[in-house]
Amino acid sequence: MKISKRLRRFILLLAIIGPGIITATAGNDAGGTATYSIVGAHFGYNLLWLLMLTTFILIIVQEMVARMGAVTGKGLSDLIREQFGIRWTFIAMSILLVANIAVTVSEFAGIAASLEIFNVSKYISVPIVAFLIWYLIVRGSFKNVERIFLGVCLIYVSYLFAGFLAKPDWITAFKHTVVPTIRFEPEYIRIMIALVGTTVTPWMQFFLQSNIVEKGISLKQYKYQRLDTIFGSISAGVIAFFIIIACAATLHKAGIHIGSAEEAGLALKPLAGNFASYLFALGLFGASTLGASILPLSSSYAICEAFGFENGISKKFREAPIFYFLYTALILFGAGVILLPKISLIFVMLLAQEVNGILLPFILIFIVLLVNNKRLMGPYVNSRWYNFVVWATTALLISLTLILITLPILSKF
Amino acid sequence: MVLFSEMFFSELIRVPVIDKVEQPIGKVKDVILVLGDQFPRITGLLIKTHENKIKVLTIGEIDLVGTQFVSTQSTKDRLVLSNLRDEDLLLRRDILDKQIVDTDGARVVRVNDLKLAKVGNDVRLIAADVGFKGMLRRLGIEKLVIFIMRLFKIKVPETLIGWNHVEPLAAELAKGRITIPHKRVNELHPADIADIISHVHTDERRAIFASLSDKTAAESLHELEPKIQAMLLLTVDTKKALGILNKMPVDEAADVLGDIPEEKTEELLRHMRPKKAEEIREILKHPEETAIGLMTTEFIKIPKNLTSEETIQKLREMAPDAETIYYLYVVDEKDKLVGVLSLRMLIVTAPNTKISDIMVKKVITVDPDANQRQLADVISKYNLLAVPVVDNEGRVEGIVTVDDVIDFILPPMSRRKRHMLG
Repeated sequence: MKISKRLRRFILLLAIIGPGIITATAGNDAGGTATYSIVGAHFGYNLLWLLMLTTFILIIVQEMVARMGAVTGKGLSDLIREQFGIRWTFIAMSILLVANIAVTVSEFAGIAASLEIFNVSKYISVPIVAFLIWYLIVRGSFKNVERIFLGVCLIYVSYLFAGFLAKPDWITAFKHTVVPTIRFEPEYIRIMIALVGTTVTPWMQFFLQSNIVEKGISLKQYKYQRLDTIFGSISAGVIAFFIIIACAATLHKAGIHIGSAEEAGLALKPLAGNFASYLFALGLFGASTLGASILPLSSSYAICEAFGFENGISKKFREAPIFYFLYTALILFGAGVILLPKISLIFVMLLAQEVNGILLPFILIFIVLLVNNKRLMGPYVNSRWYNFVVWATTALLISLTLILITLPILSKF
Repeated sequence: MVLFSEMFFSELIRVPVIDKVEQPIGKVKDVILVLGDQFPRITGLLIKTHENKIKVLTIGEIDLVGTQFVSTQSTKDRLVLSNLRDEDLLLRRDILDKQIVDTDGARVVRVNDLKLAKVGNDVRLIAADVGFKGMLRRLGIEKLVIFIMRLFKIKVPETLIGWNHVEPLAAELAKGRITIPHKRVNELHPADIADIISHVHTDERRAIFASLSDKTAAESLHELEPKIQAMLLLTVDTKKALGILNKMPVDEAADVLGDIPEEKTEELLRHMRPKKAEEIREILKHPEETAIGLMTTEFIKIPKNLTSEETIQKLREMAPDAETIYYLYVVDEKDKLVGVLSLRMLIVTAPNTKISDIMVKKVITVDPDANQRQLADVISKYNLLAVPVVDNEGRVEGIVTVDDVIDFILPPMSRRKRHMLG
């Protein structure tokens, strides 16, 4: 009981800090790792400017969502349902479901790819890990395991060292960070969509807002929360930056085209030598498993809350059948797709991020309309330049998608 | 106004509004109602006119209401339309798609559709549809899905809840403009109220909690998890907080106060009865998980030289304060615990029997520093309702009751918690 005031405040700070950092860490999942590695390996430093821009967008979007959680005390899917009615909710939830299925598949791809580096066949690893995740969460003992995986994700910090040790061309890297390079080639446009889509994902917004609400963060504590959100976004950006740099300085320089996770792991060679692949695999495994556990669960929560179905792992199967059905189906589907023979794991991971990038703007529209609702947010609505950033992002992503669709048609003329 | 028997709100939305001679006026946008009656009365429709204005069509102006059209009593040029007032309550904006409390099932549900019906001369809101059928109807695929499901011989159940069994959540009804006494919620069992509180969002939590009587609030508070307890106690004003704490046994009060900032705890303690405050302070000094942190000092202690008649007399004087009166602890002149007496034994013996003759001399006790696990073990092993905490000199410091350790005996789900990620 006798805890000094300062210590108490510090504990409070620690209790609040978290949602932003957890969300951002989980954001560097299988798909993120694959995308950043491919960005660096295939396009060198060319896309660093977009990463900068995306990190900035990430901060803006996460801050908006966190603010909405603190002001309204409600989750994003609740708000969509209450403000837009059931039809729009149906559309929003369908979008979220498609995006989340894609990400879940990519997380299992990450699990399969990382364990293949340790010579474990995917036909063994994927079913076992899928079952363990399902079981641990249904049993409710996931909380402890979650911390372990979060810890494993710290392996990604090794990219910081690898980036430096690879002796990248800092001048070129800096130039590309500030000067945009745009090429109208399908592959380039696709990687642009994937880069934005993996950094700012639809599921993260739902997850973050629920987390804020769940922690009961009030407006008074919000200034700490804001720091957490910004810090989390920036650290996610920094790690992505160094993954790209490390891959650009090693793989791109050597002309290696990433076709498997093992090749992506070679970027850590300047740091870990022959153990590079193993280090990479361990980090990828941690991040993918964390993602594969969070995604099916958070999707089921979001959808059940929006439609008012009973939900929660504290409920029995008979009390919340739809919740458990969704949750189980997502894991089964995600793991099932990976078990198809001859599927390219890296391709699946990248494709999932493209799907996210294509669907993100629609979720952003819901978010920005909600956050500007005066009845809901009172004085905490967006400022004008916030709105500008979000609408510009939405426009950018939609036009990239349109360009991607029309490019093959245009090139025929 | 005439309504053809009954209809759902979803069937009324976007229905064209025409005047007496079938000139188009606009479309139905929302329904205005007043709360207060058991089944709220509809006072008008909010319409979007063809001139793109949002206007109120009061009930007196309306002739017919149906799923095909709404007609007015007079012609368009004679029609009086008013503006929406700030205090008006709207079905779609304020109730549809929101959460409500189903007081029959004591659960929080989401409104998928609303049923209106003609009651006497009025049109009233009679039920909320919280089921799958209402959802399908809103999506406009009710008939299709029901047809398909019938092919598979699956029946879609009706899930209407009569409005008399419903309590809208105050905070939903447009922040602070309208206050609803949570009368029906107040009548539920405190454990159910706690369940509801843990299922709704922050604002509603405060609203429901603030509307509870001090006694109900105290009982519900105990059922909630510590984080929510602290949050709720901090949101009510000092006077209400003191009222609630006064209704709680000292150990539970200490439990709650241990989780809120020290300054606030001090402030509340200063305003409490000095004796109770002193007891709470004593408990707060010890770690929460030990016997001394969990125990209550409100128990019944009687000198061993009394007769059962005298004891019953004494019990009547002391009972209001004690947490449990089923066990009476018998002490000697030096305040040492010498025996225990159950209420049952006391009542069934002759009035002039000495209690030292009927008491159980071998008392199961625990040390002040026993942890929760040990306490739970002792209580469940000997099937006790409470166990006395005894110091080195054999004096009773307090008792730990079964409800303080029940979470250790039963699986931890009994504390109501809204399980989510994070």
